[in-house]
Amino acid sequence: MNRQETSVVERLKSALGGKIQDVYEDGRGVVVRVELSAVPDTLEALRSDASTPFNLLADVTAVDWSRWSEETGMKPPPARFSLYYNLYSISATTRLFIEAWLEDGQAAPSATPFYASADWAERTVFDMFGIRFSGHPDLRRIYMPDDFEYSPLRKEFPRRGVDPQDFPQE
Amino acid sequence: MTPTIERGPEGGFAVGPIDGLLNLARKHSLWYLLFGTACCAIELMQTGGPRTDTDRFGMVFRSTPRQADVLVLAGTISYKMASRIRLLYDQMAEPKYVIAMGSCANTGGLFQESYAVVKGGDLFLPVDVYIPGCPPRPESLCEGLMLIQQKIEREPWLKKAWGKYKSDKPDPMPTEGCEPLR
Repeated sequence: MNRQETSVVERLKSALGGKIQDVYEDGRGVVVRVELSAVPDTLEALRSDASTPFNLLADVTAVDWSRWSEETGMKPPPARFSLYYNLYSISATTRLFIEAWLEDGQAAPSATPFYASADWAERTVFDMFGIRFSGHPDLRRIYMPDDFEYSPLRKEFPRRGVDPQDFPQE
Repeated sequence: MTPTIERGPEGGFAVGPIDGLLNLARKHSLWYLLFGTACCAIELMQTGGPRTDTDRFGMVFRSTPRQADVLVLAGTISYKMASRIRLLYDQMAEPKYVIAMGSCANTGGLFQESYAVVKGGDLFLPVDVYIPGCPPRPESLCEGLMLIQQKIEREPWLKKAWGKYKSDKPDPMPTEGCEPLR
């Protein structure tokens, strides 16, 4: 962590207190793990930060960990899905990741009140993983047709895709 | 059925069945839709260029499906795009032909294992000519268009249309395989 990232994390810790579960650094950069319910507060605090305002939400992605421990033999993750918010500060050229874990069927709070770019990113996560976002203005599928019934990036989805007969013909 | 060109005292004239004359005109004005979904579209554009000059056969691209005779499925087709392609096909006037260009339009090709890719254009359109290749060279596409020409040449189009007209069906134009999209 460089000085800027350290000071941002310090300010975030003082603003949110115990809602921050972990701060770690890996190949991506600095990742701040928070409770799912604390995601809007975190985003708001980072967006309105005085010295490094995170004014760009570059991406929202998710990871399905349901086969993690059986495939790798490592200890099971805290929940089924992890949600990542990729935040960037254009003025301070600093990147920060927000991580939140959630179970299947649990709805995540939408980031659209804070970042307009969260609209399509959350629709992508909804389309690929079936994670719902409460408070999203227009939560529809974005890549797949509206009558597609599956979530293609979930681990139980067959690798070759579903039967082509599912495509509406004529 | 091919008309013969004769030389008369006041210029040339063609003799043959009206079907053949019509087909002669049709096969030399084969307009294709300027439409591509992936990298095959680059080869499609190249085919229209000066090297394999399809204009010498009367094949020019049109920018609207209402003026096009041939739909070239140039590229990977995703499920969402398939319904749009179907819409384009439905807007084309009869008689219309479809060319599946390249591996993706034939079978799904390289992206066959994707959840989003249609495994072949013939799943939702009546394909006349399949062209292998990834992507096919402009010469191959040109050959495919010439195969469509040969198909047109043998087609008793007028007889088919007249037969439909004489039967009880209200529509004089054949409409099989072109049900409107929901």
